[in-house]
Amino acid sequence: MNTLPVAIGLPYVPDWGQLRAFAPELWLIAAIVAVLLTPFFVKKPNAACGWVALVGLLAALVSVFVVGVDGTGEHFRGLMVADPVSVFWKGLLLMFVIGIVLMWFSTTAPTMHQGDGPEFFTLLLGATLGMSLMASTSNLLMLVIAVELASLPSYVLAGFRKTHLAGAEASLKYILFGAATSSIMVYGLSMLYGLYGTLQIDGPGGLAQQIATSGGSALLWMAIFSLIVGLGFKISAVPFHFWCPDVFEGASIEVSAFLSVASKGAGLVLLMRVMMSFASAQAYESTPLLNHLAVLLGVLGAITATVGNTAAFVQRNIKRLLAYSSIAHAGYMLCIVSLLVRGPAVKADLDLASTAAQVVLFYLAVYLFMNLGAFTVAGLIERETGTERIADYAGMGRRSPLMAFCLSACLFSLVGLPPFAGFVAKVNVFWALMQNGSWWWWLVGVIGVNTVLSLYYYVRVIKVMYLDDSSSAPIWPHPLGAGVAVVCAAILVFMLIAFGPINRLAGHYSHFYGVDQTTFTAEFSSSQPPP
Amino acid sequence: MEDDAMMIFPLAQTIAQPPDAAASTGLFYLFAILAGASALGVVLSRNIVRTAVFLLFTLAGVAGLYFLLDAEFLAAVQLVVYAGGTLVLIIFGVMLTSKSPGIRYEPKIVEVAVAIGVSVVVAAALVMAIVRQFPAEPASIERHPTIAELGQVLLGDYLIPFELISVLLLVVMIGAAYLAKARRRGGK
Repeated sequence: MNTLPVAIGLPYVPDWGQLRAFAPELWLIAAIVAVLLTPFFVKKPNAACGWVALVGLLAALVSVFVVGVDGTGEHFRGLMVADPVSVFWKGLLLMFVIGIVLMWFSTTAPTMHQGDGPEFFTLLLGATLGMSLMASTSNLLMLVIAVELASLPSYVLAGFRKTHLAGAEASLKYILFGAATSSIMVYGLSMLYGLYGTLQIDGPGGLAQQIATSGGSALLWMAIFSLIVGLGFKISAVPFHFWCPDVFEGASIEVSAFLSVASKGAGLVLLMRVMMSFASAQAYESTPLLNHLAVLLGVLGAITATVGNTAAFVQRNIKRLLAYSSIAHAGYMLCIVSLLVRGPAVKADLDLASTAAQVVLFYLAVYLFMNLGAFTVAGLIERETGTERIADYAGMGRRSPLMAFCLSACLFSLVGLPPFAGFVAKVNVFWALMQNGSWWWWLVGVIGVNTVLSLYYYVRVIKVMYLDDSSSAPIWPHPLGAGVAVVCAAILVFMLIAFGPINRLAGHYSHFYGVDQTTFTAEFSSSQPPP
Repeated sequence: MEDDAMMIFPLAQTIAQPPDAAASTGLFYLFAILAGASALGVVLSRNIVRTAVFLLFTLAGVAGLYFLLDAEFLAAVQLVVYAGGTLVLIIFGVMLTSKSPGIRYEPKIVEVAVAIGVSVVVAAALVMAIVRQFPAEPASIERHPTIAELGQVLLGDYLIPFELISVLLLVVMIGAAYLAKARRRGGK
């Protein structure tokens, strides 16, 4: 399929067996069309479009469960893959976006100009479609299209509040940064195609295999660098993170929440798939190429975590604080992607790709609820009091005990403290890095120090809420939003209690198609640390 | 299949003939110098409209190189989309946003230094890689028109990206329409 066929063939019509694995995406496309048609039938389209989007997302989520990992493997002549990792990510993503729509109903819906709803939900669903595609391709062409489909609607979403000056500025910054990084990425990918003559990353004759046999070269490094630039922008890894705090501050709160989890998660899953394809094609041996790549990703992750945490210290705005916190968490997850080379101490049958995937998927699952909860509370408080300043949260423990409790739960979980699932997510990260030994211990040290640092700024918010006094009136949050926040806090506790089964589930879904799966044994899943 | 294509695209007949080697070498230098010299002009000119015009010649030169490589579809797209559409867009953008079209911009020393540094690194890596990796002898490529095959491939192997791009364009169009609408409402 990589050389142009000479004979005239029939047009390609994919059959249902091929399409079935991508039912969630088809539902999303149907939902986009439905949202666009809604204003023709109702007078006040905002809420109606919200409901239509919600129904579409629910249908997509149900189809994820119904189809499952059935039909694993390559689809559409190798352009897309359906594998357990992508299915798990799609499930998480759709659940999260449903949360975002509920959050929209409880925070932004009343202030949104009537008639803007169709555009808003079209863009939101479009970006979601792109992010779910990002997780299920190992073809360079599809990769570019998926990244663009995720990015372009996000730029508009960031500047969706037309009357908001900071939002317009944030949107412009986001576009300029995004345009620069994605053009660098496409340039690099064109070099990969030029070098190896194929768009396919995995599989026989794919990029990963050819790189394994031919070794590194200057041009290959340039291509890999530019790929990391493009995906690093989506993940907000450190040299490319400048857009993140500004966009989070300028965009309306549900958009910030959406970008904080969905954009980063999709970028991470995609980066992990590409890197693990490279690594497994070289059997995780310590070749110079893999070693350098692992060190590069590890250092990038360590710097990202450190910069995110130190910059969060001085933030006075809750959205900026959460932005830097999300940069730090992206850094922790990037450290896991550096598990490309089998360490000296590690058992020979440990499959690094699925270990990394398991840890990252579990982390993303926890991170999703922590961020959704924290952003929802911040949005509800902003709606009632019109403030995003942390200092104005004074006395929240008395003014709205429920909101203060939910926010505290999410923040404790973000630190990684025991009563909440953030703890086990972080223990998982430590465990995976320590298993590999060698210089990965340095990453363990860096993340450990960062965790202690992060305690300060998260707990400062809790201190303001409970210890600082304020004579402001009590607030009564929107019941729907309060429900979302309470559910998030409850799930964080539940995920700690049910750590074993959920982690096994993540382990079960931690397989990349086309990446060598030497082992996934019961013994591996039972060697987890006890919760 | 080639016969079919040539009946549909009479132009393909002429392209399919191997061109005279001396003439094609001459044309290569002509287009290469055109592209290279105008690229220098883009960087060195300080008048933004002149920069845009230089860019036009760079893009046209690259399109000529594509023609010489028998990538006539790519060359046509280069002319239509970049030299035609994008450049007009740039000039409109310049005219609508800057106070006077003759605006000059003065880069700072630091910016110049950074730009030179990045360009030198990228150029060095490219030259090194080209010298090391690519064989001196050009691979012999069978000459045949590509447009008909492109059409086949777009509706065959690459049907899914082709369809997805239409979704992408729909979503982006909605976004662009929203932003344009916002401006009008702000003006009221």
